[in-house]
Amino acid sequence: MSRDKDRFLNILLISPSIIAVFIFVYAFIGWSVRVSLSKWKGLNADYTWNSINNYLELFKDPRFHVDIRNTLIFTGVFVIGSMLLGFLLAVMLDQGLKGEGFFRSLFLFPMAISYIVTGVVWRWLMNPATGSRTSGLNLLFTNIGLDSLANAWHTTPTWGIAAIALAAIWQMSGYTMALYLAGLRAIPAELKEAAQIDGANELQIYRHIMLPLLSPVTLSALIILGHMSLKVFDLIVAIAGKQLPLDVPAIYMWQITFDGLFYGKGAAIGIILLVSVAILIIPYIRYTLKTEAQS
Amino acid sequence: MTSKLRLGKTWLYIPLILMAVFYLLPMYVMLVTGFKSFAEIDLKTMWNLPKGSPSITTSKRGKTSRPTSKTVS
Repeated sequence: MSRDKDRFLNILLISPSIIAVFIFVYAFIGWSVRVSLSKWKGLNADYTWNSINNYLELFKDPRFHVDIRNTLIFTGVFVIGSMLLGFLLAVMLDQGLKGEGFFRSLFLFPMAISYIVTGVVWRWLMNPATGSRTSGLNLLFTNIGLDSLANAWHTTPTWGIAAIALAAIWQMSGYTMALYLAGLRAIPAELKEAAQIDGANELQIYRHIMLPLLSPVTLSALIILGHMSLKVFDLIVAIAGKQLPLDVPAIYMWQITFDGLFYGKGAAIGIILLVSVAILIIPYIRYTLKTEAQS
Repeated sequence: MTSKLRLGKTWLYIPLILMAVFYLLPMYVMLVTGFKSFAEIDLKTMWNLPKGSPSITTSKRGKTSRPTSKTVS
């Protein structure tokens, strides 16, 4: 009897959050799906059935092709760069040097800064002007005699988006370092000592013992960085504004919905973004829930 | 043994300090710009220290001819 009462009380207590999540997350996702399948254009709601034509048009749209290409380049450079840099920093900090705390806080600090602030500062640093208007990093390179390093940054054709990824790496590699550092600290010292006694050198220890043991951390970092880079919007707008060579799906969605008033197409881009993030996230969540249930 | 290990790892400070410079550059720009007046903010002089109050004027390269800095220099 009291068990039934407990059960009832439990459901009653979590029902506000269940209802809120259902309305504000799933109901709105459902609504976006419905809008993405409609002909809604302009300020008045229009739910005329349009099947999947919005999606088909998007995949034929040259601008959307640029978006996908840019997202792939950005994700590749940002995820690989952050993870490599984060791992190397974590390994260096794990050597028990003096001043470790100082370097750790320093590398982690950019995470405390908003993407907009990062964007504005990097917009100055990566100013592509040449000649007497040279400024930012290019000016610094020229002043210390490294003229060859000066470049057009985000205005480089095709690969300009990689410059934006540099700013994102600056912001997020410290976070990856913290993840890896926590992972490294959790590995028992005996494993390393045993490998040393067996005659393994530092490189072999990291390659064959540390890296496999760190694979859950690598997976977490990959997912966290990956879904952030798929959704990137504010950083690009703060650095370069909304310009076509640096377009990503989120910017296209903003422009087509709020500047162009094509609500149906905008919702379709939103759903494509949601699905691409979900493909990345859902296996990870299932994996985490499974391992948590086991332990 | 431990001192030998320590010595062998000192070179790690070189990449660490290089990386510290990479992380500090944007923060330096942020901080320095935060202390500048609106008239002083210019991409040409973004690496210069802020002029501040006349008594602690430090920058010698700033070319902006603001009346306050003129009277000091």
